[in-house]
Amino acid sequence: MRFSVTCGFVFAATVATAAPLGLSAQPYAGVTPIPRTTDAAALHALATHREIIERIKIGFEAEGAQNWSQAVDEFTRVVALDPPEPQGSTAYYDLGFAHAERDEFAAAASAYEKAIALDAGFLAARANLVSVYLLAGNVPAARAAADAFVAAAPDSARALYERGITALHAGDDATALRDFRALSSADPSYAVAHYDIALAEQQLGRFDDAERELRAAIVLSPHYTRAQIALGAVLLHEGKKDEARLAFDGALAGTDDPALRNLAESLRDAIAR
Amino acid sequence: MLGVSRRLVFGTALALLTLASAGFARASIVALDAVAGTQLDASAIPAQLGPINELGRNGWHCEPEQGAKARVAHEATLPASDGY
Repeated sequence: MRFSVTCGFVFAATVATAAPLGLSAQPYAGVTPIPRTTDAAALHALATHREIIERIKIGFEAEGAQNWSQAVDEFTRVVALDPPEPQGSTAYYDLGFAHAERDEFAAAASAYEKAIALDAGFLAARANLVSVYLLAGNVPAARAAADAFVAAAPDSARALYERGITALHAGDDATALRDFRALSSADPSYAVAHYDIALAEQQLGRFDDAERELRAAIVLSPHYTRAQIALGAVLLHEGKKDEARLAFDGALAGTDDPALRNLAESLRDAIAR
Repeated sequence: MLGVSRRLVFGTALALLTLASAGFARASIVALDAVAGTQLDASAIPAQLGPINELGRNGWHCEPEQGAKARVAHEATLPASDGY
């Protein structure tokens, strides 16, 4: 009898507490039931799954703390456990990230490739793969990865930028021009796209178009030192020495970067001689 | 004798000056050619998109995946221009 009364009280209290909650929007899923089993294989699978989740959490925190070696250790262990999706592609992605931060570009590329093999729609992995191939100096592999990225996401600004950069590194100025023009059409205020269009135009021998793009970049971003230096070089090629000197002076005024200042200064002084 | 020496010195100086000027002009042309032909670097390789947690790329606001998908440059974590 006492038991029944207690249960009844608990039930009433539960209903009273739950009723108001039921009226408000509840954005969270219900509590996941705790699996109960004595089967050895099922217990092993549950333990493995738990280890995968916990190690990804630890590795993720290690990356946040820039502890790359711990992150590599954790994610290497996770991928050895052959995790299901999405943890499998996530672990390979994070492993690639940690390797890249340690300048281990070949290992990073390998990890990103595996992430994409598990999840072909993983655009962040595709983006980072192009970057690490370029950082490794492997332009043909970067080109293949960039083509695949654009095929998977034709409207992605990052895909267009990465393929454009790769094309410039490969000397394919026509592709670079097409990609940076598409990028600029989608976001005309992005000065860097104008700069890269100008480089491609310059390579194609169209110096007046290059000059126009560089002036557009500088209007959008007045302290864009590389664009000022490029403009000076283009103007000089067009025989406009005085304007070129002004461009190099503008570059000097716009940056504290010693390397860029040195470049602008030496170019300006070469005209003065 | 003195007149001959003066003429010789003057002539030699003139010849040296002419040669120096020609050399200087040639050096200047070479320098300008080098400047005009300066091969400029493409803009920077983008920084990596950041780490992803155990939830994976779908089903939450995954910033790296959003950055990779973004259609406009300013949302895509691409290199900046100012000061570079």
